[in-house]
Amino acid sequence: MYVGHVGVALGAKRSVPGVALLWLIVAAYLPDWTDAALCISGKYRDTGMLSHSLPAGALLMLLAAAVALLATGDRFAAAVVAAVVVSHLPLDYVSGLKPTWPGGPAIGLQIYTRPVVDFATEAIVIAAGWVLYTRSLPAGLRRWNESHVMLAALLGMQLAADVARLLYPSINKC
Amino acid sequence: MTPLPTAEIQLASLLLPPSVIGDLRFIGALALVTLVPAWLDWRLRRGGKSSNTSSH
Repeated sequence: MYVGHVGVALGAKRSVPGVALLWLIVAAYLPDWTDAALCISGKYRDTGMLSHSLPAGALLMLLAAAVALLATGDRFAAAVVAAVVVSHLPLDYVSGLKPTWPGGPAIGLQIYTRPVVDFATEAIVIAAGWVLYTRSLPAGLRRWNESHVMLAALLGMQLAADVARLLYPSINKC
Repeated sequence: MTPLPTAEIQLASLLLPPSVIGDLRFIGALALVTLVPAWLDWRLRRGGKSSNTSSH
């Protein structure tokens, strides 16, 4: 999943208004940031075992929860951050084909192969998260057009990603 | 028949190895999707604060 993960971060913002949205988004993409680090170090493998498998997800979840607990001193905030990190895996099992555990099967619905279906699915996740996010805003801000700009920007980025996937279906992460 | 690469890709390939281009594309996409909503949220909350301040 691409922009759909932002939807999870937006939804979580309602539960932990004290945690900056930036850190919730970083948490939502932690397995992908791990892949980015692996790309740079030259250790990236298409299987995603080191970033997107269940053991890797559990490790990243514990790491993020520990950092959040140290930074905020709030156990609930740490639990929400942990949940945001772990949400990455089920969403990617919907969109792609991801590993389970070493020696285990790779599973997933692979809707990436159908960009229209992928866009519709990610748009639902984005919109649901955005609705929760707007409810977290103070009453005076809810009417402000900027929150709608965010929804439009997120859907626009997702549309661009799906069009790119249509044009270049064999494009890899790195 | 394999389509010829565009002039831009040819130029980029002269400057950077393909693996680096791939890394930059992936990290750029991640950075974009991380920073754009975070920046819009910051603007939204800052805009709300300044409009609240100016109304009092």
